[in-house]
Amino acid sequence: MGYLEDLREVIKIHEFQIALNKEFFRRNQFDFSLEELGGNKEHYSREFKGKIEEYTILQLWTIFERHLFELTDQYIRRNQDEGTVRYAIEGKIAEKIERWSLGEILDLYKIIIDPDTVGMIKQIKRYRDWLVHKNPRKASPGKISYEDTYIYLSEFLNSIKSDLSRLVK
Amino acid sequence: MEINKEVKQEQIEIYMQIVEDFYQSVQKWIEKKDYICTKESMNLDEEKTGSYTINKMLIKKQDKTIAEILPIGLDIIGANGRIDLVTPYETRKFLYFKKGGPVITTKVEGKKIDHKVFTGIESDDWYWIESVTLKKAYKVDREVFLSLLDEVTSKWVI
Repeated sequence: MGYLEDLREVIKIHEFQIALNKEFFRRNQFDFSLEELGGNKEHYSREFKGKIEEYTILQLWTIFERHLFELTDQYIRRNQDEGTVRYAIEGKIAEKIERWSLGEILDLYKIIIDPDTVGMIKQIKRYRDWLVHKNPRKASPGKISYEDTYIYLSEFLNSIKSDLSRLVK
Repeated sequence: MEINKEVKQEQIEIYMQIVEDFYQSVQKWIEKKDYICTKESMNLDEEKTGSYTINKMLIKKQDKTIAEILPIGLDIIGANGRIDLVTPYETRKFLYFKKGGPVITTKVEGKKIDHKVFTGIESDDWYWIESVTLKKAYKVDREVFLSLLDEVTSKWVI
């Protein structure tokens, strides 16, 4: 599947999970008391809704990262002349890409995408990292919703894809 | 980048002002409805500004809170602030955008091309994005707010 299909799939799963969460709590068919756990169904529904959103952002980021590496790899592997030195060098570079820091890879795209947008993607990464580690003593960095995460990550990949298509022509 | 105390305070005050302005609008929009609005203070802690106290708004019907308007923060990626309309089961997010909204600039053969991320942002205001694929921003006016309030509350309020 392409990156847009993959990212959209995450959004669909999110919507399904939110609908499921709502039905689960509305029906209120538990064989235990939520009050005994220290909250009511509204409280737990809110908690779960928040967790679902955070998890969606993490999933979107994982998919973005994978496709970013794949698209970056395509810049190198445009030369299909096996048996040439250039092909061998490109192969070596491609092997190393996954070891580059994400910041280094994103910075490469400042040539075709404005630095503010690249900075925005790095901010999303910071927020994603904060969600993963969530130190309660550390204040939140710039926040983003799962909807905007989808929009900015897909726009970024779209820009790379159209640059690649132009090179292939 | 570290910003000084005065700048942080100014940013907090601007955010609190746009949130309060929104609350005033909400009160006007719902005055003919059978709802009562109250405010409660809450705390936000953001890396950019530190901790500060701000009001959230509770929308009540016969003493039962049916929805809240919750400030989420001023440091929002791609926007200038966010508040959410929240019920236990639903959330609608409102983003504060400056006129035009966020722009992505790409360079094609040395030529810069600006691309607006959202359509419909014609003034500095709160906006709601209906769909992630259409990317149309709706200014949160009386009609939009009341429709969303109905949508998030009618499904579960008895």
